[in-house]
Amino acid sequence: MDRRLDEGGAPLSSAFRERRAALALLAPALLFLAVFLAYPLQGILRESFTQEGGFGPLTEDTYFLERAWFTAWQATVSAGLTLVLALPVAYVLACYEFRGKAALEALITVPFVLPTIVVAVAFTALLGPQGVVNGALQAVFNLDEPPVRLLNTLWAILIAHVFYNVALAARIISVSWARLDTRLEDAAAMLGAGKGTAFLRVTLPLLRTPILAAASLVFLFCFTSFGVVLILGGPQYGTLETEIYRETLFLFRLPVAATLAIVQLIATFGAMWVNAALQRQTAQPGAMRRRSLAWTTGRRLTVAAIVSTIAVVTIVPLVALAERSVHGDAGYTLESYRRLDDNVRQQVLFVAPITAVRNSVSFALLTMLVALPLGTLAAHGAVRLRSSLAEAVVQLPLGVSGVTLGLGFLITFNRPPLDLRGSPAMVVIAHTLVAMPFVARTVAAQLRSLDPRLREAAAMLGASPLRAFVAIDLPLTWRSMLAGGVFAFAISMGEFGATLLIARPEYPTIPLAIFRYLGQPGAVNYGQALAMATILMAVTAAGFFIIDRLRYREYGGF
Amino acid sequence: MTDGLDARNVEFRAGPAHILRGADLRAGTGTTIALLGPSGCGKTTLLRVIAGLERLSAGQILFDGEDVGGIPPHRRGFGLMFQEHALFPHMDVERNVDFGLRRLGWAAERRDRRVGELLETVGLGGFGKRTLEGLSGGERQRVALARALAPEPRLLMLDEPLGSLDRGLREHLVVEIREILRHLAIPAIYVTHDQFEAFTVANELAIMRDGRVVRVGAPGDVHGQPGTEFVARFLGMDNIVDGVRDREGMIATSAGVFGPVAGPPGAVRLLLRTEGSAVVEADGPNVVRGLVVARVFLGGLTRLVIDTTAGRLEFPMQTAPAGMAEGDEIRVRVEKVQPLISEPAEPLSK
Repeated sequence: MDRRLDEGGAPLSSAFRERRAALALLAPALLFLAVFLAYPLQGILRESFTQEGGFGPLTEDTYFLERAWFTAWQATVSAGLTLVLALPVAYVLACYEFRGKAALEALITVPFVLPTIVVAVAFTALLGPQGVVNGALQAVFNLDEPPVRLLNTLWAILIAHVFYNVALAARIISVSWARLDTRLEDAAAMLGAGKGTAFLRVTLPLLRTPILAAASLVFLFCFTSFGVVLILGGPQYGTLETEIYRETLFLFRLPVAATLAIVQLIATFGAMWVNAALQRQTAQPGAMRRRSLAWTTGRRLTVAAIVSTIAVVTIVPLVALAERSVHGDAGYTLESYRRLDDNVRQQVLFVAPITAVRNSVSFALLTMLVALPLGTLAAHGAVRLRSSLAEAVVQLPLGVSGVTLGLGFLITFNRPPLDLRGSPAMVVIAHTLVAMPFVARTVAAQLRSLDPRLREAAAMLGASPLRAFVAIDLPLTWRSMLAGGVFAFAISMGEFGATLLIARPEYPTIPLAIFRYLGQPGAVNYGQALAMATILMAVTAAGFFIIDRLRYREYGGF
Repeated sequence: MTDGLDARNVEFRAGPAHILRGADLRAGTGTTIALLGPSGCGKTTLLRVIAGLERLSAGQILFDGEDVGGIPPHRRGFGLMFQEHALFPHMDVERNVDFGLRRLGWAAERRDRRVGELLETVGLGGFGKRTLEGLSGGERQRVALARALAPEPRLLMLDEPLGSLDRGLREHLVVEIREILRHLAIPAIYVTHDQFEAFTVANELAIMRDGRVVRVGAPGDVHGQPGTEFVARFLGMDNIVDGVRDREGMIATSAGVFGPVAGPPGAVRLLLRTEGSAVVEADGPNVVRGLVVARVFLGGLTRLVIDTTAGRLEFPMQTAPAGMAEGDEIRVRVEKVQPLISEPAEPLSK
């Protein structure tokens, strides 16, 4: 045990008692994960070894191999393209201070927090046959046919993936970049290296680890990308994720779906492991933040170009979505919003959009109600245990894609003791699994900065552990809990993959309703899809800005 | 029944580390004990075990004869002032001090009065509504003291309360703390590694080494008769040489002959005390001869560092001899010598 004892070091904690209390705090989350994550995954594993499953279909038929290859390939290319765009942005964020920088950082992060379905619909609104770009080109050049045909191509998928992840990659890289000692570059310059050489030989090699960490994370997200591939890629581009969905819901070949899910799980946990290892290497606490570079005309122009490019790339698809949602044949109209309570098809399985909104809000509130206490307690347990293993376990659901989760639920919770068939509880549970890691991570980050001696001081003044929690922990960490709650709400509102598999048709959520309307012909359906996507975008973006504000206000020195 | 604190044979292990190895500490009413010792000797841990923040592995902690070892910290009725204070950052000065009073369930009016009195006592009258951010290090230290005193603890412990402050402020505040502690009729334990703080604040010293309390006594007694080489060196007495005692009690060392000191003949470790030492002209008993390595001007004193055949020795002098330069030969007469028990240090962890 390598803890400093006595003077100066962190205060000792009564090892045994503290451990037991920490485990008790972790217990609810661990139990939840055991029942609702480990058990379904076990079900998937078992299913994949039934007769029609196994790895037979994968090797006999090159179809699945091609899909697996395509999945990895598109994820790699997406990660590469994302880095190309992220590096200049990281450079600006790391090396310069300017007015509005925090706002810029928040703005470019918005795409990352948007539900996949919103991003997918936004790109149809921008680049689709009735999209903004084609509309404008047709009007200007008097064309009969839409000239840009990006939908259902590989490019649509790649562009959406880059749009989605560029801010994430830029932020990861810029944090390390900002900590690089500027004197290293100065030293290289003194040794005769030009700016280009210094960047290639000094800066870039030093940023290798964070760049790889960012790449592995983007790879992970793109590997399990679902909504974007399904909606923008069209039928001829399938990834493992869309294939699992197809095998499950349309071909009813559950063993094959399960086998594909296992293959995907191996890949995602591998990527998660690589990413965790890289991030551990990246963590260098206490390093100084570098000073802003001095402004020269050349630098001003460079920064202005990068900032305006990224801002435009971020804003245009979102504005396009909002614009199309109020766009009618005869000018702008709120028709699509007015018809949100109109069930155009008049079928049982098609509900009015407003019903979907109501469903989503209910699910999101319930998810928040479950995920917030579970995640908060788990964060307390993991932080008090000072165990990175415990924190990693709580983060495990992040390695399981939505569709895999849905598949696991379908094949395990269909018989006693846990027969949840058709129960709305399944949706809440699935959403909680996805949201809890975010809650735990957010709360843990603030808890770690809480001096454990404050709790001890409270105890010495007569406060019981519960009293100390109420008087010390709550008031000092409520911001992170609020942020965690908003996270949980937003994640639930946007969750698509798992919900698609397990939600009952008569209880669709907003993403499901959008997806269905997109699949229907007719302007009214598309208009309603756009309107709902716009509402969802507004709700999640608002949630994100709340979280962002909560994070940047911390208690001043003590 | 012993009144006040009686910690007996306290053991504490954290994993493989054996931090407290049978520490004994007694503090009766009106006693302020300074708990002294080098870094890592277990001072803070002993406080935390007494406070109940750590559970002792073996031994007993009695208060007024009652075993409190199984009582959780918030019910022991002890006060602890933390290193770096651990003030509640989300509360103002008043609410920090009030925190313990609320736990006692006092009425608002009585609490207000008590908070006001305490803030006056520590010299922060009118600071109640201030936030912590605006306070200096010394003011925070006072808030921490007021907060620890507020619920009228039956034992007050202070863990290096002045550790984070600069020297001038420390010397000033330690006198104030001494005044406040003298007026309280409760036992107090003051952890420090600074012997001057200890001498100022305490009427009893307890010196710790490797998880045990190795010496207890009034400051004058401990300083006057350190007894062991460890205590002597810890209190800054480093002029220690090897010698052999003859039947007359004279002790021959390679730096000269000292004594007489009664005792059995044979090898001894000898402390050459510096009180009353003076530069002399002639060799003789109780005179050390050496070369001046350094003369360090310390304001009121001059420290002479001299190399002798028995090693390097240091003597603070009230009046430094004029004309003495580094490299000159010098003779210093030693007024008092004491034989010491020398025991090997034990490793802290096994």
